[in-house]
Amino acid sequence: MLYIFSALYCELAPFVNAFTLESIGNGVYRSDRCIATVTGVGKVNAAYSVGRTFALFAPSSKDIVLNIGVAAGENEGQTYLVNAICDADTGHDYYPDMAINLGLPESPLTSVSKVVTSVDKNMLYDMEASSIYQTAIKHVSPDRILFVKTVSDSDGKDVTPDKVSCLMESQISVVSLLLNETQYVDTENNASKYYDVLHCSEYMRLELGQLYHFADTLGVNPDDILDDIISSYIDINNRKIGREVLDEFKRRLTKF
Amino acid sequence: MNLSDALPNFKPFEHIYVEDKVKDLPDTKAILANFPNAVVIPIKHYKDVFNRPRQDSSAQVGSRALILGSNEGQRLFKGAPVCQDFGYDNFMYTASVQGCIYNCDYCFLKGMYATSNIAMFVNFDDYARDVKEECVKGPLYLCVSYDTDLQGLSGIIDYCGRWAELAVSTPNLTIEIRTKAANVSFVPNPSVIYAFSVSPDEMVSKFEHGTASFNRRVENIKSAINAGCQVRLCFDPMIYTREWRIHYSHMMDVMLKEIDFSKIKDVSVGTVRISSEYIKKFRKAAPGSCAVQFPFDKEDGYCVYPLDLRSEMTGLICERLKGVISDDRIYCE
Ligand code: SF4
Repeated sequence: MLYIFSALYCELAPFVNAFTLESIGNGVYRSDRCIATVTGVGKVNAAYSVGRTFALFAPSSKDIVLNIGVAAGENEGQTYLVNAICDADTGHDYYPDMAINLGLPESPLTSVSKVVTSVDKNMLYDMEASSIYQTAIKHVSPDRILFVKTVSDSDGKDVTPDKVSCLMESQISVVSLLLNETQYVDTENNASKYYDVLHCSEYMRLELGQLYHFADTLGVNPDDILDDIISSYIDINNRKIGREVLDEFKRRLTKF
Repeated sequence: MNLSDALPNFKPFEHIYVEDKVKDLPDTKAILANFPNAVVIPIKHYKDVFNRPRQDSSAQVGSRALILGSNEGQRLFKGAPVCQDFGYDNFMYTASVQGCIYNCDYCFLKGMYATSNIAMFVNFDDYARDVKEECVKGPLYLCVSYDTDLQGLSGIIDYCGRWAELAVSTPNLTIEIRTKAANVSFVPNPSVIYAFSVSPDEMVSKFEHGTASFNRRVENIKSAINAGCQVRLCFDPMIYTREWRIHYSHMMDVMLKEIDFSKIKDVSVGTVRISSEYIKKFRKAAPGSCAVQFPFDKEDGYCVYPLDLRSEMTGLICERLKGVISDDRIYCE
């Protein structure tokens, strides 16, 4: 799942339209592969919205979090991948891993509490990124948190919703690329079919699962071995015999 | 596992984090000169990047970053009891680099560090000073390629050469440079021991990702012997697979044919051992690797093979070494 967070609806609107995200209320839009949230402006709003979205949808550690929107900076219209975030109020620095290459130039960013009226060279300014990082990192690893910012102004002036939406249009390809994330499929636990046969306790289930998986990594068919062992018993009618089978399974796997 | 096969990923060392206080040091500049296209990100302290919470070290492998900093903390450490001390009383290790360019499934670094990024400390002179002070007290055996493979990084900075120079010029100091690298440079001196990890190609390709092939290692060992170096061979860690006997037997056939063991200083033989505390992390990082998925026994805080298997595996090597190297030069787990 791709989680998108933007401060304003006008930042999110091009993606809502392009990917036909459906509104589910409270500034949250979704499809089967994407949940997009309007956080509101500022660090407190951002932290609250990210926390609320994650509480509602329980992201997995394999999901991707994208904060996309406009920022103040020097080169109006240029889009950057953020490689370092400084919180201007606390002085703390945050570093998303530079893992996914979106083909964008990179920049550090400072998260401030008030609209900036002048900018330093080679620096972007926004009002949410540091708190989004701090909240998101509780759920996903730093290689899965991305900040993509397009420069809208250098002095806080002349930033209209239409202009913002227009700037964000160019980032539809970025979102589209991230939506192509690999779908992780949990492998089925094939060992479970032996749980009842062997009268497994919780502990035996864990052990069987581990041995079964180890057999796979060795390149042997665990079913062949287990079925062979089981066929040597007339009846496995209690846990003690189940344990014998398990011990023999382990012995065979570690005796090549 | 990289983030996604569907997404384009950055390549290793496309990003270099540099502590503010080391940015003007000559070594920093020399290292950066090797990466003219890298994005340099200034940082206050190396731990701000290296020790971040919740890093996914397996996801970082393909795009690992370099972190240049200064190690102001402890720089010399007592050798862990699980390490062979080769008969030296004062056995220590040091880490002028933390993290490795290779990716061995069983590597203890996976348990020690939360990251696959590499921290390189450019305050080598501080390390040298600490070592000299320690050597005033008596003989010191120092592993310098412990939290890394220093030879593998010599294209970035030649710390092996510097450690070797230090060993040559410092009384009481013996260093060990352990490696699985393809390109190895040598300083022939009694105070410098080159320790080569030797594994059959099947184990190299399955479990020691990015390291030199078996044949390349054999060539390196021969070159070191010919150069007059002190050479240690480490058949360690041996790894259990379905055909381990065939692979290790074949490896020994080649070793006994190619290597003049009378010129080998000593040999260590051992099997895989992984800290029990971190076994879950190892298994998560390498779900398809039988090197870490084995149903280990637990002994003294380590996951180890059952005793009979360990004896059988190390026995295979030790048996083949009989007559080619004296028993007192074989260190078996
Ligand atoms: S070469 Fe050594 S330090 Fe590097 S990954 Fe392999 S075991 Fe670890």
